[in-house]
Amino acid sequence: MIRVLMTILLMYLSCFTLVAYQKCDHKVEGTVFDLRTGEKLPFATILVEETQKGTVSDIDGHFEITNICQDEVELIISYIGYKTNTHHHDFHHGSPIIYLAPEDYSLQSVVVEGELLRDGKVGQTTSTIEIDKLTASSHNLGQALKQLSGVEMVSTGQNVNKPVIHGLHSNRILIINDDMRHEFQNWGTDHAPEIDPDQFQSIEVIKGAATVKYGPDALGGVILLHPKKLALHESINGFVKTSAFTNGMGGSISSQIHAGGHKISGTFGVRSMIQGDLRSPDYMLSNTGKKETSFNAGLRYHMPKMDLELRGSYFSQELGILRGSNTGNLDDLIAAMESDIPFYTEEFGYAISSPKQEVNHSSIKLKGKYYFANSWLETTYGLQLNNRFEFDVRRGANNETPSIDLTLLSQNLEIDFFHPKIIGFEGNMGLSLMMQDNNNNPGTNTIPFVPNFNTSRLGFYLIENKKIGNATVEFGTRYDWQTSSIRGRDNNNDLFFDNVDFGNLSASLGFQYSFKDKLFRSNVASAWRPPSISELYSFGRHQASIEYGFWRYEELETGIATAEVLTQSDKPVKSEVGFKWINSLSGSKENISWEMVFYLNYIKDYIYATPRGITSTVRGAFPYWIYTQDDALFVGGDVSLDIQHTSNLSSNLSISYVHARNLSGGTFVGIPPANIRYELRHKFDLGKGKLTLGLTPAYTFRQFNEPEILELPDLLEIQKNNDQERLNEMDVFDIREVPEGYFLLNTNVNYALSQWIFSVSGSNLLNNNYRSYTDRLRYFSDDLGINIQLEIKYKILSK
Amino acid sequence: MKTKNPFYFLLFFTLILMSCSDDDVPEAENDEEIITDVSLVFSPQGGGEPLVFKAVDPDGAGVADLQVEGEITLAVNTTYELFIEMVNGIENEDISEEVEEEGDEHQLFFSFTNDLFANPTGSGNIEASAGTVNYNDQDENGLPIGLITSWRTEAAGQGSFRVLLKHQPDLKTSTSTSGVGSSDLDITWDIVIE
Repeated sequence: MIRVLMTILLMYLSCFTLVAYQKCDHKVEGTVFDLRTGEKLPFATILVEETQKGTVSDIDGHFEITNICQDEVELIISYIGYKTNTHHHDFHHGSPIIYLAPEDYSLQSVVVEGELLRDGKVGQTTSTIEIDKLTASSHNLGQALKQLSGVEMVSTGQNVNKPVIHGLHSNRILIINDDMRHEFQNWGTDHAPEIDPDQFQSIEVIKGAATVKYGPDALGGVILLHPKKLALHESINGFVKTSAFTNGMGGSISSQIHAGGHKISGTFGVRSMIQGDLRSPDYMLSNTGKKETSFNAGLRYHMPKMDLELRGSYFSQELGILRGSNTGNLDDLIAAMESDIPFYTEEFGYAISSPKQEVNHSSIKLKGKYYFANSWLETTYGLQLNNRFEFDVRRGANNETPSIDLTLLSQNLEIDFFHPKIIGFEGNMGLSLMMQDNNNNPGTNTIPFVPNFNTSRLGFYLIENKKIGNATVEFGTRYDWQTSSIRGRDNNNDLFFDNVDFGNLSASLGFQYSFKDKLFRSNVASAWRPPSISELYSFGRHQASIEYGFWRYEELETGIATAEVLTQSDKPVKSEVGFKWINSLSGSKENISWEMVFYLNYIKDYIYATPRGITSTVRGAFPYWIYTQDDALFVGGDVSLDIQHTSNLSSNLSISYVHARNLSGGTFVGIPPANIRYELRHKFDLGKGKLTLGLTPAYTFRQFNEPEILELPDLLEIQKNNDQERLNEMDVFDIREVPEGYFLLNTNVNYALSQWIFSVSGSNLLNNNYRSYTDRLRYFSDDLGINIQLEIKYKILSK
Repeated sequence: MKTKNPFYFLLFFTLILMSCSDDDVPEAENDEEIITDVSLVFSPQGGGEPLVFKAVDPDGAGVADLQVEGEITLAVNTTYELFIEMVNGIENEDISEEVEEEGDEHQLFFSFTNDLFANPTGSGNIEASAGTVNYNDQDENGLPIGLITSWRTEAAGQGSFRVLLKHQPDLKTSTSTSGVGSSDLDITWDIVIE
């Protein structure tokens, strides 16, 4: 293995260091704008530091300097009446866009660096949110991303939220935290990613299948978290902000600071938040408090031709889950669901007791970039440690003992080579290695829900693109192979062992074409994911239901049996393979910009859990779910429209719809219903300060594409009559009526004065009672009532 | 150090870390939550052999159904003291003892065919929460637990007999009913008095 890797690496290095010679043929071009008015700025002076070279921007703000010898230069951009800006430019980046700030203006001049189109995203539909511009009170990643069209949220109560892209979530979408896969216990809907959104500058969502570039799991899409680049030559800058909110009587404080010198730059951030019990319009949601602390630090060392970056982060979280959702047997579950207010509803408090989750996630990442003449090599190594403890309501001392206590250690190594242009083709190829070690920590006093495992995965990919006139075509291919060794305990506490391998070849084809003021993008790609360990091996009771993984049950003529632990040869389980075709057409004309998206996602061997029967135990009757696989089809579309009505008044409309079908009959539980969201914003210039008023009405429809409903009392009846046949003939079913559609009104008032930003935002202003179809706790309680949040932010500006 | 190729170092470092894989197995856990064997021990007042009726669920969370062994058969005109014995057969643990220790958050409730017994009369305290059951034990707050109860038969009859153990942490009061808390045990036997 080592030899193979070394050889590959040596090939890269020897081939391309030879061609890295120096010539004075570098060129820099860019455009200068006025930051206040957004208009092009002619006659600005651009100088290359330590040389005699320089120029003045033309009538369109455009400039060009040729015959530069150095690979990197300092550009000094100045203009009378404006703040001078120094920008570090290297020739591996695209054309800079410079925004000069007038002397009397509170903001500083900024430079936006152009990106190169070599990211394997040709033809992909993407949307990005700037964290800075988030208006609503978003305390976690799921809530923040929900504001993008086509992205919804699946939750287990109010504290556990996961993003859904075009109907898919959990281990069908991938989270890439600054070039590294975020590795966590992603298999459960109730396991949210351990990420603090405040430390990032922007979040980008790729809505197509992107396995080729990012590896397995990206069936629905990819979420890319981008921290602010560690820029050189900037004095201390960043922000400090604090917020307080009424629902949950909580607050947060966070800060992120950057600074960069000639060769070294760094960043440091910290965030802490606390929240007590939340409230629905009519009652408290007891035991829904939360505490979070996180910090991160980064350091970049820049050399000619080379960049090294080291980042570390820590995130810890303790969160309560609605006490009234923790039930015993089927009778208890019926009683809990029929109760007008959830059981165990108490006065407001900050205490968090069982059921609850405690999670901490640490990561260290080392990134290296090495530039050759017309190509570069990127290497990322990441080490992540994830600890998860889940506490159920249990007898006596066990109530303080976690019933799930898992440690997941992941290591990822990515090597990407971006090759020089060859007969018009630009592209990159790479190698990715992953090693995971998941262990159950002793002392839970319960047989582990999932076994211990070690997984190693190796992947290779190649992506190439070519520009032909106004069009760009891209194709890519990838092969992944993984092997897992599994050690678990069966129901009698006896050990079982297995080795399981999965592999897959994926491919993608992208096309984009721009004409006049429109852009058409189309991408068709395959993606895959191997079945997760929990889908294969989960066994046991979790609250009011019992779950059996693929290899923990066997189909017999008399029903199912769970005595044996099976293997791949007893019962073959296939990897899920998805084919997603996504198209978008976007355009902008004068004051209107719009985008229309249409997609088809066919997933072969889609894995899901389906209710299969009822087993009677000493505790009473329990419904049980088994894992199974069938082909599935997701079809849908998103539309968004932005209108600038006047220079101060703007609005945005977005509509999303997804239709899911189980191709062997029926549909699935929890597919996000159609929704429509409108936002109206008005800006007021109040002398020195600027006031923005925003109003966001949003309507979420009832999910009409619903599975069969079998209410629990009917299920009990079936059990009493021992009517297995009736159960067998059911497709996937839900145990409660689908909630009605609901209307929410949110608002945001924002006042910016010099470096201060004061904002007040309100969510669910009408205090409407509603339940979200994609919230697993909708069986037990209403969703959140009105919340008012105050936030004060102070921006530290670079001098 | 030659800085030209820090990737060698990086790769080396990674491979060392990656080679630390292991093959450790999860430790055996004694699952203290599971009840596999339940016995109703009816001891006739004034001596005589206790009558024992069992229900067994050997596979816990497995799909195999609970087996209720036989029916409860009691004699007419007799007063019985009922002791409910719960055992975790996988770990050989006495769950009744645990329930007694944590009596302040547990209570057993009963339901039976109407007027099957002479004392208590009625049909128990599950469906009708005000119904009577003769509890012979108490928790530290003086509230009934129900591990020990007494029953008086007179006339012959038959029907069903249901035992329900509720876990009521911070919820058990003098008025808390069988609808409160979560069920740790819920079994129904057939019963004959002859």
